[in-house]
Parts: sequence; C-alpha cells; structure tokens
Amino acid sequence: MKISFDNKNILVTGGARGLGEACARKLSKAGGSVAIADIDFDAACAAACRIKRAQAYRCDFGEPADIVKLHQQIRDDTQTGIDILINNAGIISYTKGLKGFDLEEWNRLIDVNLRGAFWTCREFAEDMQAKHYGKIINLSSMAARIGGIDVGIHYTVSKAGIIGLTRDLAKKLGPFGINVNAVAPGIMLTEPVKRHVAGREDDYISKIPLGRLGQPEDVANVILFLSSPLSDYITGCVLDVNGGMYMG
Amino acid sequence: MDLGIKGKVALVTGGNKGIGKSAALELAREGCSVAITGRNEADLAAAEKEIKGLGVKALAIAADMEKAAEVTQAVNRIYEALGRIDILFNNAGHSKPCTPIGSTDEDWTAQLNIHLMACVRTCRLIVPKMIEQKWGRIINMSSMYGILPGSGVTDYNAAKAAVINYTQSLAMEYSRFGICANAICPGLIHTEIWDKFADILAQDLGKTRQDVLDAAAERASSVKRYARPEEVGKVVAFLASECASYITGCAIQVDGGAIAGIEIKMISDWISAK
Repeated sequence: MKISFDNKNILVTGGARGLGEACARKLSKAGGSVAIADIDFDAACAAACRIKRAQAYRCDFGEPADIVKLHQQIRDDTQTGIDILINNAGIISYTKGLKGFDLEEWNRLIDVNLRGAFWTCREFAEDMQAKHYGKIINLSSMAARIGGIDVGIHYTVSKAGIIGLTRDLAKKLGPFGINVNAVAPGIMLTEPVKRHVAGREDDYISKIPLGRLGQPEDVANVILFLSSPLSDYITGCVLDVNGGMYMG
Repeated sequence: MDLGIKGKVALVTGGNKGIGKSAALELAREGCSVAITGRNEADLAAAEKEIKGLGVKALAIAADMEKAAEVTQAVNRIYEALGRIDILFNNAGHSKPCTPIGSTDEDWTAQLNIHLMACVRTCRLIVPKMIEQKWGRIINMSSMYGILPGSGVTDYNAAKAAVINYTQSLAMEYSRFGICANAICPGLIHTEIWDKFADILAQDLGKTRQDVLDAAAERASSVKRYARPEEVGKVVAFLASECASYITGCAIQVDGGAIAGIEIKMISDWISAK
C-alpha cells in the first residue's frame, strides 16, 4: 500500500526515546518531516541525528508557556505548521500505595501527562484547522481501561483523562477535518518497563493471550496507521495494543 | 507502508459488493489471493474480474452464508483451489426493521444465523488450520450498533453485539497460536444496506432517501459525512497485516466519531422532528 507522509510535518512529543522515538523513526521512514520535542534536549538532538528529516526542540510539557513557545518555533521553522501530532510525552510512575507520593508528584505527573497533552492539542489544532486537515494521536494506556498493573494511581488517572480528552476533541474538531484518536498500549518493552519487569517476564507473558510482551514497534505501527489516510473515518476511538490483555 | 501480507490467501464473505468487495480489492492490492462468496452471481463475476485485474488469484463462489452446508462447500472449494486460508473476513450480512417486541422468532433466528452463526461456522472450519499454520487473521464484521444499539433494528443490534463477544472468545482461546481476531464496527458507510434503511425511514417519515442520509451524516458522525466503503476496506487490510500483530480481541470502530460524538439511537427521532 502506497502511503506517503511527504510534505507532512509531524510533531512527536517526548520523542527522544522509547515509544516516541520509534514513532518518529517510522513516520520519517514513510517520508514525513519530524519535530522531536523533549524535556531532555540533548537526547532529542541525538535522536534527531539518528532520524532523517528530524529537528530537535526543547519543551517541558508540564509548562504551558513552554508549549506555546514550541508552537511559535515550529511555525517559524515549518511555515505551514503541524499536520500530525503524536502526544506521547509523559511520566511513568510505579505504585507506592495511596500515600506513597506527595502533592507535588501528583501535580507534576498530571500536569505533564494530561494538561500537557491538552495544551499541545490546543496550540497545534490551530495549524490543522487552518488546513482543514489533521491527525492527533494521544497516548493513553491499558491502565486507563483496567486499572493500573504496578503503576501509580496518578498515572492511571492521567491516562483515563486522555480518553475523555480524545473523545471530546474528536467531537469538537471533527467538523474541521481533524481526526483525534488514542492508543492504549499494554506492557511495552521500553527501557523503564524492561527494568521494571526484569526477572518476572514469564509472569507477565502468562497473562497475555498473544504470548509475548509488546515492542515499541507494535505501537509505532498502529500510530502510523492512525496517522495515515487508511484511518480517515476513525475518530474518537481508543485502539488497544496489548496482545489481548484487555479486549475493548 | 508495507503491510507484509503478500502471498497470503484471504476469504471475504459477502465479497461481491459494498464493504466486502472494497476489502477484497485492498487485500488483492497487497498481493493476497482472494476468495469471495456472495449470493448474486453477476456481482460475483464482476468482483472476481476486478480482483484478477490486480494480478492476483481470485476465486468467486456463489454461496449463501446463512446455510451451513453451503459454508462448508465454499470453504472446502477454497482449500482445494488455493491450498490455505490465512485471512478470514466474515462480512456477509443484512438487516430489516425490528423493534424490541415486534419481531418473530424467525426474524431473530435469521439475524443470529447470518451474523453470528456464519462466523462460528467459518471459524470452525478454518481456525484449526490456522492453528496448524501458526498464523491467522480473523476480522468479523460487527457494527457501531454492536457497541451501542440503534433504534429500529433490535435483532441486528443484538446479533452484532454477539459477534464482538464471539470475536473476543476467539482471541482469548487462539491468540497464542499466532491468530489475531478482531471485530470491526463501522458507522455510516454509504452502501446498499444504508440506502435500503434510509428508504424505509424516508417512507415512514414522508422524506426522501437523501434527506435521511444527509440528516444521519449531520447528526450521527463527528466528521459530518458518510464513509466510502473503501475507507472500511483499508482498515480491514490493516487488521489483516503484520502491522496489527499486537492487536487482538478488539472492536475497532470506523464510525467517524459516532459513538464518541452522539447518541446514535437518536438518528430517527431527530429526523422525525425535523
């Protein structure tokens, strides 16, 4: 199938490593120009060096002012703004019980994972509305579907919020030719998850109907699909990519 | 974007028109050999010719998927002619008006037969061989009404909900053999089935078919339009592909935001009030 992202500008938030980097690479391979925005600017630069047609930006997605600045920078650099937004930046936190984290940690995580995702949509949807074309893909999590496995409650709450955000934006932006969907990955072997499951892989695998843990590539493929014209009539949906752990 | 399914063999039931034919053509474009079934022989012959025109093997079989014996005969013929089935798209279906208390046992049985039992029968025959092959893709046609019911088609709603549940059972039991089973839940797709539905509503309401179609698109999708059948066909090709190899047991909505956006059961009420 001939799918090309030539002349498409794609923003991957938190794109310096893990799932974000896998998405940036996949979309660049399909011809897209990719803006990699990350709080770790050095890591974003390193990723941009490894990926064709990629440009690194620094952004703390917990700071709305940073997101507004990022939007201005990208608009200046691209002229036409962003066509496809992959809202991936986020903090993962493992469970520490109900009182194992303080208000500051709760606020920081919600600020980055949920408010940051919304603020990024709020900014970059403008570019898409002007073109009457756009794709927004928000990263939720299986935790939002079934409650967290090992992750903190603030993480689960932030990812459940992403589903509400996605549905509401799909309604509001649908008439402007913008599709908004969420992807809810299961247990994907990014570096922090690998460290977390080390030595207990078989335990997790025994709960997965497909009999294997996920790879960043599995999610990147689905995000490529949701970024492409193959999914033009899909909006407001949550795609579960979890090997059958949760069937939605 | 390489879907990685060149050389696979697909069966698309009801592949002679509408969404089924679109999916058959998308799979053929990816290099799959494609078998289709259908009841209308003229449509079947035309679809077979189009598939062959894409340079792949095609096999068209006249069969009524409501009849168990015809399902068995069709599947056997495909194994004889093409040797294997890697991708199964259970798509054949139809509907007619039905209220929760206004239809007969026969109406209900017919809906469960064509939507649910046709899936069960093809899977019974094909899944054991997919297990041997250690690779398979099953895509069962449900509907947005399988997730949230629409008014006036109660038996169809229930049969489509059953398809989702059956698909999840398939995924639960057989994913470990490399088989991904998913349901697809289209919304407003401009096919004959919607034209017929619109005609019935139009007659009841004293409106034209186009009035009904326009009103439904405005009210029942966030994107304010109908989809073309090929927009569903492309999603079927994706679900059949290597790119979707970690998705199983899901009900994938292709509804332009219908379920996210509005209460779909309100379509006919809204048209009535207009």
